[in-house]
Amino acid sequence: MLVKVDNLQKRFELGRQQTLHAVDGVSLEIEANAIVGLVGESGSGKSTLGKSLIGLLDKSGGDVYFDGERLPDQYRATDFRRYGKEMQMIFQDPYASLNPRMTVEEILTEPLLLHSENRLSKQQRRELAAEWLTRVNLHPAHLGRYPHEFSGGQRQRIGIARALITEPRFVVCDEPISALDVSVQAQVVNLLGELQETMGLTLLFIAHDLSMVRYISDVMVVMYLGSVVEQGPADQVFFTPRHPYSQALTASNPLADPHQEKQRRHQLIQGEVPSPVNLPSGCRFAGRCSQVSERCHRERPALKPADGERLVACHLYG
Amino acid sequence: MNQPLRKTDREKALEVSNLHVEFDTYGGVVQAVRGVSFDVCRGETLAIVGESGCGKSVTMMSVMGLIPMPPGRIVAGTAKLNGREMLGLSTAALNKIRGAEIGMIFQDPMSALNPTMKVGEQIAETLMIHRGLSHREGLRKAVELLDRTKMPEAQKRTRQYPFEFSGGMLQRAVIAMSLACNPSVLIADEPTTALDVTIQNQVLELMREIQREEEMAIVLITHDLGVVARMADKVAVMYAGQVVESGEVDDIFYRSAHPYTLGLRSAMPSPEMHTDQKLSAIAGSPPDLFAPPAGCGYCSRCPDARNICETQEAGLIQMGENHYSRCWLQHAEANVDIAELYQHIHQLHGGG
Amino acid sequence: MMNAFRPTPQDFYPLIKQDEADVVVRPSLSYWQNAWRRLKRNRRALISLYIVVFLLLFSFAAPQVFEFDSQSQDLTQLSKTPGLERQSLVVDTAPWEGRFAAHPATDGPLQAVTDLQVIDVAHTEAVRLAWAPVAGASYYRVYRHILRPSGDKDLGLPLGETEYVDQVSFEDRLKLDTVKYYYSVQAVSKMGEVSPYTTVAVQPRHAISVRDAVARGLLEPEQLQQRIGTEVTLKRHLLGTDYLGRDMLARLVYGGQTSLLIGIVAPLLFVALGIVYGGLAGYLGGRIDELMMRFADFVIALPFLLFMILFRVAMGIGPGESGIVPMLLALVLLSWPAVARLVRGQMLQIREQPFVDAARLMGAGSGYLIFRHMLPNVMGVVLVSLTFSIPSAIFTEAFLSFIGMGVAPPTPSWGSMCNDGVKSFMSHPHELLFPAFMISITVLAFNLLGDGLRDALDARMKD
Repeated sequence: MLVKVDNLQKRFELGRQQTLHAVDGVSLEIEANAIVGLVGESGSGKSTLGKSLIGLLDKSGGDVYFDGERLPDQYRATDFRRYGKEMQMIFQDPYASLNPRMTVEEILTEPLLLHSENRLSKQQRRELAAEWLTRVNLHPAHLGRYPHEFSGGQRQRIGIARALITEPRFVVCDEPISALDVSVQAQVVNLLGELQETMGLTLLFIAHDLSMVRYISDVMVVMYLGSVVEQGPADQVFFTPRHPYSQALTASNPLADPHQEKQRRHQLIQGEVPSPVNLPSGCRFAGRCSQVSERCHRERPALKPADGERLVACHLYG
Repeated sequence: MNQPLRKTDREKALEVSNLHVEFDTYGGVVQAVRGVSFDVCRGETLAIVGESGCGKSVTMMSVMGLIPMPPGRIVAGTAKLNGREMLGLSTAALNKIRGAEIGMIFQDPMSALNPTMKVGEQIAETLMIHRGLSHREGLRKAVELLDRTKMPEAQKRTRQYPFEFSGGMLQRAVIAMSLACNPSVLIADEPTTALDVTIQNQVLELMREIQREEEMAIVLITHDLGVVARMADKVAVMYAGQVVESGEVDDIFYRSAHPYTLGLRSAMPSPEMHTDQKLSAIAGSPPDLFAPPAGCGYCSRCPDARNICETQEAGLIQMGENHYSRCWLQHAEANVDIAELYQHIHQLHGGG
Repeated sequence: MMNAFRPTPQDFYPLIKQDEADVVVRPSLSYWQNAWRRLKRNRRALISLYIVVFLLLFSFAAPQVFEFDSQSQDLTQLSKTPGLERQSLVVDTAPWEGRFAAHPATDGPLQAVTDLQVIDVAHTEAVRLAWAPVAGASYYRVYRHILRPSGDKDLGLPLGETEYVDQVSFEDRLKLDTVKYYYSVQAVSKMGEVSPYTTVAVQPRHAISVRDAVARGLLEPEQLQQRIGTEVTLKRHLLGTDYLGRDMLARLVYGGQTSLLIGIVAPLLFVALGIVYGGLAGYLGGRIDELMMRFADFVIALPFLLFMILFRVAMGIGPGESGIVPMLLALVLLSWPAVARLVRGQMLQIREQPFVDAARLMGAGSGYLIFRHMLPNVMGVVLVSLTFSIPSAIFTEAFLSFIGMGVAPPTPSWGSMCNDGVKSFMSHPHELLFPAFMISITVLAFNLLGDGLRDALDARMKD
């Protein structure tokens, strides 16, 4: 087990006695070489979880272990220098994740400069950067260019090269394909899959496109309002969801198949996603659940094994 | 250009023919729309599918007269709304049509609503202008409309401001506004792209329901094939300013002919696939529309391009009763067996 | 069209494509190079840039090459209008005897003066007029106007009356300039009856008395007698002189030094201060940011003029002394908050950008983040702000010098020159117009340049 998350919490104080519980007690175990897909809608806390895990946000509670070692609660630059070599991140917005004033070469060699303790010469750094550009299917001649000269998909690939150039073991992918066109998404996903295989990476793939997450992940984790509601092998969670929310989510997931789409019973869940500020006691989904019971309002269900490797947080299952 | 046969039994709500739109920019003239034709009847949903830069939004904005005409220019084509030509109408005439006979909803509902006006007022405004209702009647109708869009506490909501609404509710309010005057056509430009998938579900279901009730035509612009599969009766696939394939929704999904359509479909993982099967990623990027290629726009990225594709633009070739594809591979002389071709391309794309 | 075209089997053979990875064709441009290109395309901004460069060269480079003397007073040419004429006539300034003529006997009502003419050459040392005697006149009145008279009430400056009996001449020595004058003469009878007036137009040429010429070193004393009636060449003043005879061009050049120095140095200082302050506030965020911004708000509220005067007093600078330092101090200490706010806003925005997170994740320290990642992205906005601060500072300095709170004579500055020029605006407008023009064009050029820079730098970088 490479990464272990134990009851992670992240709260934001909004002033006026209001607290936003972005991540409300999440526990997760990520095996080495696995791809864990994290899905959820807005307000689920999935992005916050990713950032807190990797140290960009200071967590409010809980522990995170990497390779058995406990990670700090608040990261300083020295902590990042230490762990940033092993744990990296790929960002969502290709237009804002690269410094517009730096050339591609500077962007790619920056991690080498900050980490490698000057073991590499400038020439060696440049060669490594060129090698990585080729690995992400870009031409090495692009080293001298600026981000604005590239398309969204190309920028995302540069971001991937930057994240992987120090050969980390664990990468959090925070919605890496949401801002891209469909055909470009495929390029990036293929690339990620390839690199994961050849480098033996462990990925936490955060997205809201269920089909894509199922395709790429071994394990799928569904979040709702800051907690995990279901977790298990990706195919199982996708085809036979147990938690009422996962069921609603899968039912809403559009399939590129007209016959199936038209035959489906589009089970609508009522209402909007409530705000993660001042959450109700009891199950967070109780207000919208079609199978709600009295107990649900009172008691918050814990994440328990349902069958096989499945974990569900619902009173219907224990 | 082959003039395709059209269904004449049902009333055509919107008929666009051979539309060409250009833009004057710093770098030259951009040919954004290069000969687009489609039509949609009442009670039908037409989906216009394409990725960014294909010209789908520009097409509809030109039809609505929403493109600023100094940099933009409609070079050719017609757009008939219920038989009446829309292109070239004066602003005054267009203003009468927009909102009344044609409704439009955009991707970002926040920008469709005036943040300083109460939602009820905005809906009532449409009615007051187009239907001549009084202020009170307008507000009453606004509550009715919001109710219809299944917005909870509609009465209370009419007195609130847009910032008090969530994304899904805003879109509902915008739909209510666009329906106020019972338009015959509703144009929805990526209406659910910014919404969560469960909310998207609700909004799409709502649109379907209203369509059934009002016999309204919907033109749905999207890049999401799942949404198309769910909502569309007819589909037009656009690439580099042209319609490359059009037909009934089953044609497009089960009998795709154009390599681009196939490419798009293969780029989405089907439920059985796993990472051992690569997604078909279409290499390269769309052509520069400053100097559109002489031949097929998709040629440089097509895995099965032929010599002729580079130099000659293909016309629309009929594949089925309403199914057309702009591809030389479908040409009689191409000597390609359709089934074989299908397989061949699928393999080339790396699909399973 | 499809009909005319018949494809052959070869047309359907597979197309062999060259392998092109995503090659981007255009040459690579950095942010600044791109911005420069955009700026060059903006004609107004380009012209403004040239003007700014010219002004800087004018004030700072020209004195190195040419000699400009802004202090010495050329008393031979006080308030001279701009022009190339430099010749002056040497004249003898002994008083004129005048002309006398017997008056004809009284015969009817008083007639207007006839035969009014200028005797000899009219020059700036004296204008001599003579006319024919009028019957019944007891004496004559002479007026001088710079405009053509339009009525009895509008004859101009009364120069005087003839003193002696039978005198039919007048010599005007009163502050003559090389402008067109209109002399009017009226005859007055013993009873006080006044005749209609007669006018003659006169344009005196520049003259210098023999004594003055010797005193100014333009003539040798021995040449006194011979040189009367000849010309001497005076010092060249291309743009004229002011009321004290100082060369306008030289004063504009040195005045430019003062005005531009303050106008550029002060903004540079307070922009630098603003960057540091705002950058820190924006980066640190939270409570510290709030406190720092509250202090900045407080500074904005302070009254500028009051503080400037306070500084002057504190430094013991009396009225009539040059107060460049208090002016600079006040400008710098009171103008930085606007820049600080701007920079802080930018920093807050940039702080949220993913590329900053990416750098943090790599282990970048605060200093590195600020200087390598955040500030370079702020620079565009700051540069624009700087270009707008400069005209503002120049204008402030001009205003302060104008009201006497800035530089004091003899130090020239465009503002103080305007102040001096106002006094003689009616008679010698060039003394005010030139410095005012310089200020205007400087302010305009910097403003347009700032506009152009903002357009060039702020645009979204999507080629």
